[in-house]
Amino acid sequence: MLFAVSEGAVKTHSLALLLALLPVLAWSHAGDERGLQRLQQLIEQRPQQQSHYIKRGALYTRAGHFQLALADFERAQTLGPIAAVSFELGLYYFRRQQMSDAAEQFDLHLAHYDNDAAALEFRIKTARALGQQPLAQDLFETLVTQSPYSNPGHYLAAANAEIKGEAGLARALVLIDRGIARFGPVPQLQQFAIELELRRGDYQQAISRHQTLATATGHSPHWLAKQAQLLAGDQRTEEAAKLVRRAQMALSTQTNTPARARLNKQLAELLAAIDSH
Amino acid sequence: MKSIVSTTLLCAALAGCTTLAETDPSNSNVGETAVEPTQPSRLFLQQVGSDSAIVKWRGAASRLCLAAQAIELSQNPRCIDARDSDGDHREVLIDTLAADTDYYYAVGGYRVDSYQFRTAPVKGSLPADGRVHVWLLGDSGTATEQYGGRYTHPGEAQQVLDGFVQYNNAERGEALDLILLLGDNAYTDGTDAQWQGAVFDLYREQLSGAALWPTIGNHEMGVGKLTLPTGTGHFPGGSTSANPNDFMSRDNLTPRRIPYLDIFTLPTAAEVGGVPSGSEQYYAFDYGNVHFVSLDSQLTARDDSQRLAMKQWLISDLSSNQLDWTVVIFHHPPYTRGSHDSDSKPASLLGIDQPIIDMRVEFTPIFEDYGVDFVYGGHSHSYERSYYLNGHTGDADSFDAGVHAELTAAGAPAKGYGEESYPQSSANSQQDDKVVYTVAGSSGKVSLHRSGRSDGELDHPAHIVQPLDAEGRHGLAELGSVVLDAEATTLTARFINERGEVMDIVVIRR
Repeated sequence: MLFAVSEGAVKTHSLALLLALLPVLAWSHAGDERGLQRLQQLIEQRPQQQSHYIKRGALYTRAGHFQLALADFERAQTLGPIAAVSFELGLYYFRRQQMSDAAEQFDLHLAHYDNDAAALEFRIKTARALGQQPLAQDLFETLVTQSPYSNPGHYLAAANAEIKGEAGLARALVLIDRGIARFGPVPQLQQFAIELELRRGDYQQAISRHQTLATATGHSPHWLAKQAQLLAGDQRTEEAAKLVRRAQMALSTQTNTPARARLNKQLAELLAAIDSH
Repeated sequence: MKSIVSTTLLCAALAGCTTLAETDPSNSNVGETAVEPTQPSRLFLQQVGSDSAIVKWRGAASRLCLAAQAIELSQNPRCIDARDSDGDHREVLIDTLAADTDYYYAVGGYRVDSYQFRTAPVKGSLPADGRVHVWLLGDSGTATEQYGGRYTHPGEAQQVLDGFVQYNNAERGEALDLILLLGDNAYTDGTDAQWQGAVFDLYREQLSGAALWPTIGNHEMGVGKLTLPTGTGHFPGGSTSANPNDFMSRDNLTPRRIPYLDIFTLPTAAEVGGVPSGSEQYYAFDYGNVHFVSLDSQLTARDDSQRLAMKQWLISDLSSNQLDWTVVIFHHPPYTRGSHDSDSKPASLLGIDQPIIDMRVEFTPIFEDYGVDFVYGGHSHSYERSYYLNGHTGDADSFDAGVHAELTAAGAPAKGYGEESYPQSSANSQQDDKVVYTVAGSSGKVSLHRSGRSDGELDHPAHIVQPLDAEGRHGLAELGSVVLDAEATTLTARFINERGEVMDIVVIRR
């Protein structure tokens, strides 16, 4: 049973009504043609309902029917508060790579819903796309400081958006390290940092970062293998070979999973490459 | 062997009940207190490991005293001051404990017989009684479920509890090591008051003796704002936000922090094993020879970058795990045809159930690659248990037992019990590449009603046909909970109904 709270009062929708309504809205995520048709019927029944046009515009956007989408959003703007349209219209512009227009819409949305993390994240992306790095950075700060439960994923996304060119890699690493300072050397962040160090060709930094995961991962075969790979990349082949053999020995006592089977194969290949060096 | 202590009478009402002076850590004046001790309104255990544990409560008490022998508690207890924590709680982290050892405790001088717990055995080993004993509750929160001013499932969660106690007492009377919550444990909105009524009041006795480990369900996030043709409404369980600060309840539509994160103290830095996650929303821990992982399918899974981070953490965590058994919990089940449908179109209804698909498509391959044994979810208010599966990431109609399930010598999908119990390393592939997926969402109510469609028919072909179901369906429309027992060579799960009867059993052996 579903109940709605509307305008401060608890009101109960009848089950029959909800059963009738909910499938209509399924299209919004499923791309369901039938749902679109039902929505069309609803628009015919209630042509002044703003939300119908916003939803249909969002569907058209996802389907790439941009002209139809824009027509719906423009109609929706005439039927209710403009701010109610702004997030989906922002996404429309974002997907069309019209970043200035997208930014304008996300700003409008955030002016009304200043804690909306989703809008903040897209506004950060538009700022980055527009080369507004200081603004992107400020908004990122807002995002992570407003939320005491910020997730390592926020830092990962922010860093990922920076990685263009040498300067971008450095900025991304700064962001990752801020995340590590906040959450500790969690693998989601440290492994990404290791990949960035490798892009810069800095094996020693990569090795050093990977070392911070040794205890947390219990010197697992996967950790040993990665460390061996990094050492080999840094021309420390003897140390690498030792770790490969340690990993192989550890694996030999463990249940054979697909991941371990793959690792075993990779270790053999790595050892062969080291030996032939 | 451990035994459940059934006394729940309040200290004040029980002659001879032990009380300890809160003001004097070395108090030996049993029964004398400067202030009359009072029962905490809630008390539960968190992060019980082999050398540490957290006792958390709400109430006036500012100190916890404990001892390894009940008699020592009144003579020479170790007392620790509590620290205030979020959500008007107090908690004590007790360190330097001995592994696999009973401890007796009092809070603010208050104590009942059930105030005792056993620490975990040393990582990798079994408890002295030979097995890790776990209770799983999904969608149990109906003790507080009210719509239109009336309780919609009165007494049903209590029936499930009674059924478990009846079963447990008839078996070995074994004390629980762990209690796992599969989400939707405090209907309708997951408010603090609802957690009180649906969890802390109902399971009071169990919670004082076994560590509680939760995951976030859709109802933990309160109400979600949905746009219907009739206008905008706020629907319990309807939140699609990835932001834990977007919590709203029916009685307060101001966005605020999800109470769940204030109530629980969960590991972020591998405090009790596993790999650090940096987030209380998803975490791992070890208990004896079992590795447990709690994923967040309600919040983290709804954001692409956060979901990716959770996935990368999961791979790191599972690839570092070498314990005998691995159990994963999260709320949205990858396979279900109950009150929710895991197929793409209906499952993504309004986006509420999108995590079902994302978890199936993106996470089940990881479980299967890295040796997970059991995966538990709730969300659908019934019981469904799968075959031993690998590689089924599509809709129900794409399930092919010959491809996706462990097969018997006769070529039929093995059922998981008796002679068809599952070898951890598949007899078919010679690898530990299969997982049993279970929906255990009937710990507070049974419902097959699905919004916008006909009732769920419990007909997902990846789930076994339940022989005790009168209609021969791939599931059970019965109230109940799951009991999981991990021994050295077997991992056994049983579905226990509200009458204490075992309705399904599945065994993995190694």
